[in-house]
Amino acid sequence: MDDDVIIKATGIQKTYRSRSVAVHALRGIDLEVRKGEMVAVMGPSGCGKTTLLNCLSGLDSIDSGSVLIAGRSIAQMPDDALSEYRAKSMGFVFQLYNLLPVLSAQENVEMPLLISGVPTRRARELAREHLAQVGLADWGDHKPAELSGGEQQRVAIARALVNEPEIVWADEPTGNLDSENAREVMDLLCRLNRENGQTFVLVSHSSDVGARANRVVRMRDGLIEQDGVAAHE
Amino acid sequence: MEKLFAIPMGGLAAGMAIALILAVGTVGVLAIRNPVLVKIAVRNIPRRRAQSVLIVIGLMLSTTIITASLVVGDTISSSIRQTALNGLRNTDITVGSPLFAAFGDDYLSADLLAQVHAVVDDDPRIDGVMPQIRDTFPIVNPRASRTEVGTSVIGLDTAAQAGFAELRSLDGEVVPLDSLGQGEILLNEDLAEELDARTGDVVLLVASTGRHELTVRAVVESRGLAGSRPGFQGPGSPAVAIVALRVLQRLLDREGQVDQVEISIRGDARPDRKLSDEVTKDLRLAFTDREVAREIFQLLRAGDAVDAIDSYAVSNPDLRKSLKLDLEELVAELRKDTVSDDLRSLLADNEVAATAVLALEEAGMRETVVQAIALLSRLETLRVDDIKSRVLDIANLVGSFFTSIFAILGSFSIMVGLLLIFLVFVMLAAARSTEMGIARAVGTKRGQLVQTFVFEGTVYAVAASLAGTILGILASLALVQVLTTIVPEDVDFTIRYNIQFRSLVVAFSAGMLITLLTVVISAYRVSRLNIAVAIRGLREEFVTSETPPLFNRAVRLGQAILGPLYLLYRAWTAMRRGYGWRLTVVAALATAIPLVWLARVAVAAYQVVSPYLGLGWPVAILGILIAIWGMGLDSAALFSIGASALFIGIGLFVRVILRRTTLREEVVSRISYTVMGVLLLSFWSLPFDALESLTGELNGDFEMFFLSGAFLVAAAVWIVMHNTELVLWPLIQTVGRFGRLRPVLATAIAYPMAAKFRTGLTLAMFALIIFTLMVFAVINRAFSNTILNDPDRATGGYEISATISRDRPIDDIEAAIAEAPGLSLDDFAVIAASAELPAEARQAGPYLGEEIEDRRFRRLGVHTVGEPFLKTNLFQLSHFDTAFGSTDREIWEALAADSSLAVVDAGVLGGNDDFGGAGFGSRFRVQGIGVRDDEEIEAFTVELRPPLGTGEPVTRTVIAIIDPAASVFSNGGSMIHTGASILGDLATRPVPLTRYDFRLSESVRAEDVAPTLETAFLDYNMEARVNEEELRESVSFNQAFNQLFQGFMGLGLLVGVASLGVMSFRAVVERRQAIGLLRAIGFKSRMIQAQFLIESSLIALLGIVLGLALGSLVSWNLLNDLNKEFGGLTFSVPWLTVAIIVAVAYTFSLLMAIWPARQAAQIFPAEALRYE
Repeated sequence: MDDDVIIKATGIQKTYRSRSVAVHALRGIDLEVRKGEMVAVMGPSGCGKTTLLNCLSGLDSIDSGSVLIAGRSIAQMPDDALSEYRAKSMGFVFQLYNLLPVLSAQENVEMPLLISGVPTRRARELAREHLAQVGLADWGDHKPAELSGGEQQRVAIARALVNEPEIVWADEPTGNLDSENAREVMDLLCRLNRENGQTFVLVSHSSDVGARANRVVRMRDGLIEQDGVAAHE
Repeated sequence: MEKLFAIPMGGLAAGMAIALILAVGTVGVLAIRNPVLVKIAVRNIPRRRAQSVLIVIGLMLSTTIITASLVVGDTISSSIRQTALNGLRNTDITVGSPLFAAFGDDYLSADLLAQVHAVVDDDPRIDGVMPQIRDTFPIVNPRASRTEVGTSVIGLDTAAQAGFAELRSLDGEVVPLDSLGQGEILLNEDLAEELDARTGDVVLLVASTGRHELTVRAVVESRGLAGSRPGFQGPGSPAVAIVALRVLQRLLDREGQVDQVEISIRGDARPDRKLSDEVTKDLRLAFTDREVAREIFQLLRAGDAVDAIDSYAVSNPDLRKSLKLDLEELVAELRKDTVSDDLRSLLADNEVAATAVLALEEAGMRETVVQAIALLSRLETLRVDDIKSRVLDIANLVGSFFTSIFAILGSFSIMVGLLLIFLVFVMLAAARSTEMGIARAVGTKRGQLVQTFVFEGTVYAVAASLAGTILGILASLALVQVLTTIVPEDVDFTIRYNIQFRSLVVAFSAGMLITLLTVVISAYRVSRLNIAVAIRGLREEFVTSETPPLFNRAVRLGQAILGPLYLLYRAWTAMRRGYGWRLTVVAALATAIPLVWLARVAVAAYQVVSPYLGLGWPVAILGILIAIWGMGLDSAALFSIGASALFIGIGLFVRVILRRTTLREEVVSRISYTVMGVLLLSFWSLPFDALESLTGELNGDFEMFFLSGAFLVAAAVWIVMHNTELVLWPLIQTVGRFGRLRPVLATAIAYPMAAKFRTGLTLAMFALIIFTLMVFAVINRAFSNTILNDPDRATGGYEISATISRDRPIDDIEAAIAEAPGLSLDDFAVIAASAELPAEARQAGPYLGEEIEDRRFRRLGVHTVGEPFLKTNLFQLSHFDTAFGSTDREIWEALAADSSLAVVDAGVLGGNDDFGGAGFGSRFRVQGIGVRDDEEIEAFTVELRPPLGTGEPVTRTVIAIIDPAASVFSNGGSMIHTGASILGDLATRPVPLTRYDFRLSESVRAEDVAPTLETAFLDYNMEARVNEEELRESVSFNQAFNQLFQGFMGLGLLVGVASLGVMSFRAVVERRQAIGLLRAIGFKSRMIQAQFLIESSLIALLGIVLGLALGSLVSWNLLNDLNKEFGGLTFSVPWLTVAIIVAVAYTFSLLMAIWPARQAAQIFPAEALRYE
């Protein structure tokens, strides 16, 4: 395998079954993502974007095929090892921000560090730095409910990046934001991708997001319809 | 059981059932009118089965506790009843010599017996008359070398069997009484077992006239004539022997005499109350001396006596109503010209007669009083005791007493149960806040939301009440099983499980009504939601007070005051306009119930003022007013509630002030609630008498324990919930060092502390239950330790106490011991002999300048003691007059030197109400000195006279009160102890020494000497007990009871555990997304599991620690307070009990938490993240 390829998916299939109904969410996906790439997975609702992201990141299991992350097959990893891998090497950003409402912004950002076993003091410093990076240096003591949507998403981004993961998965990162906030968030993601060289896989149906990515993968009905370099590059 | 908290059980059951039917009926009508709402309400129940089951478990506890309390009461009262009826069988009434017979002994002469026969023989209502003698003797079975001292031996008229149940041998054969020969004896089953005797054995009956050989004719069942008779003090000994009356008459040298006649009323053994009352009344009349009655009639008609009684009856507000009516009837009878039966019956009623005499005494008619007392003592020729009715009354009383105890002890758990119901519904509402907000947004009325919750709540309530009743029955089975093991074997009392249907009705209805009421209140609270906030789903904050303007609130108050009238008016206008009016009429009818009306007015009045309460200062002022009111009424409860309101007001006021600053709301809440909590905690932690200089002495009872528990726990929970970081700082610092636990701990702390309301409630539940368990454990241990560590306080330093029969006195005990085989005078360091006799007493006034209110003579036992007792006893004195000495010993020496001095037991001081309450014949009480008063008192004078006013009163100066610990061995702890010279004044015949207290020399053991004494003094029917053994038994008996109570209160723990479970299951549902996220960012599944377990553990352990700490604090105060009464109680932590409490409470909490924790751990991240 090419050393630059960090994500390699081959023939992944995923079917959801509920009672008598079977939904074929992924029908055989092949995909390679190189280190430092910013890939946008796009397509209409229900085409399998989020499922693909979940399967690639190991949040969900696959029925067949294989997913190699940095050369390791995640389907074969035991749950604990996979959790640890996610803690150390992956960051997540979700449409609904998914911050823990009972923790302050600062504590939310510290959480992945604590999970990875970083000492408390160091975790505090790093969290503070990352909050500053997303422009929220003074908001660390606030609970998520006291922040706006854009601010919450920036906290979520800080949380995703604080561990300096190899891959950041973002599921509709701007889906819940107004255009102004969406633009700011995308600026931030692009800047971080540029500066840190981390791999970003974004799922979105927003053309604005696609326009900012290095590469756009279009999906339809569980299959990749088109895979190419984004227009602006 | 007939009554509960003085309310007849039948009426209570009917009332509760009607209330329940009305409540359920109302819900039913609403349900029929709104089937859609019902559908919405109940669909939630099967969706989350585990949660529904837990809710039912939580809700059922109140019913369980009520059921168990009632069934224990039923069981106790029916057991007493059954034991009594088994013993009594056909015997309904006994006729004997008057209490404390004027002619000196308790036997009826042949003439009197003939009089009895003349009255009863031809009475068709009476079908059995059994003349008899009952006495106690030692019986020896030489074959088995067994002796039973103090056996109840009954001499029966063998020809009088008719009307009484036949005696049956153990193999069911009838043993006709008339077949019993002169040389034969029947043993009942219990006695035969003690003596290891069987038919044909020759046993020895040891009487003062010698040892008499009797052959065992048969061993018969222990019932009916061969059953024991309950005495006035409680159940008798079950060992009974029967001989022919002639045999006992000969042995006792009582030819032709009997000591009582048992009478059987027509019918079988079942009690016929009405007939028994009739016959009793007639017999009492028959055994009243007509001539004496006439003399009293004439005496009272002369002069102003009738007017004096009349004005006493009219002007005395303290008289009981029935007594007042009796007195008025007496006055009416006295104003007639002839002596009627009614008059005689009134005079024969001791209470009426004594009150009349008191009236004369107050009117200053001394001469008339003296004559009246002399006549009254001759009025009754025979005493008629309706033994069966009396025993059954006692059975009911004791049953209610037990139920009350269990219900009061259970009240904490019931309170905790109510908190849980509230919590459950608040949580259910929180879970559906969005759904409810949308429903309101699309036009659902507030009332419909309330209804939806009430429907759902009703389903839970029905299930919970049913399950609770069943569990209550099971719990009562366990309780009764434990009670059975507590009852000593040598007491004739068998506990038989019994359930009355009406108790189940009361328990089910009470449980269901309590649950429904709480459901309605919480539903109402939930319905006051802010629609926008609810839709956004901001969990805990969606309920906001939408306060209507003052004018509207005032109008509502006016409507509430008009109550049903206003509702009827509304129904009428609705009807005229063609709207639905029927429900309004139903509501009007419901409001017509005074209690409902009052409640509505109270709620409306509260709503008028409620917006201002938050300002703090109105609450503080209200608190001050309540406290002042409480001080005026000497009520500790009211004062403390007032003071607490003041502190809550201060806290609220601080909040108002701080809100005007730039501080964040979180900080404002923290400061104000901490201020409030610290003030309350400090106030309730004060020693009970700390504020006495300010408030004067206040009266408090069990309710203070209840209040202090509730307020302390609330205060502590407020402080903890608003200062979590500080409280948990040590934990975070220590556990935080273990790398991977840090994130787990951070979330495990953050979640429960963010939901302050529900966490606080659960914490409070745990803390309250542990608090009560702790207080019980500490107090129990303090009492047990004090008595066991210092047994001399209870035993006076005597190792053995012995009693002998009155009719077989020992002339010279020392000489007798010297001669007795197996005994040596050298074994005894002190032999103190004493006598006891009944008397009546009243306190001579005034005392410390105060007039003595109670001028009646009341029962008081006299214990006459000789020099050896006075010189050697080690009993301590709780109060004494320093004019007679400055130490206990000096006081006892003063008593030895002056025979006009006396000491009394602590039981005669105020504050130790005896069971039956005050009334004629009840016990003497000292006025002016309380158990809790200072050690130093001033001596007072007591006038003593023989029972029923015969003879002139003599006086004794009481210089000290004996330590209450001594009452363990004194007759109920209510006697006067004085020199023997009083015997000459109070008794017409020589009073034998019947009690011996022995202090042994160091070379011998009490366990060896006591049986030797019994054997040596068999002829005197000596019963010798080893005091320390008795003491230990009594302590372990008390401990067993306390443990039973603890176990019962521990039921409340179930509520706490169920509540933890409900919370955890809710958390799993509510936090699915958060769990998904945590899993996504690297939480392993066992970290999720650990997080949930730590959350539950934290709450449980915090609750346990709070409960233990507050319990220790309150028991410390309680012990200091009790020390004023009892002295010598020391605080020590019962570590073993604490360990058990902690282990049980924590283990159950953890077990409960495992299930939801596993559920949480199994959540699949991708699915959870998708879940909304």
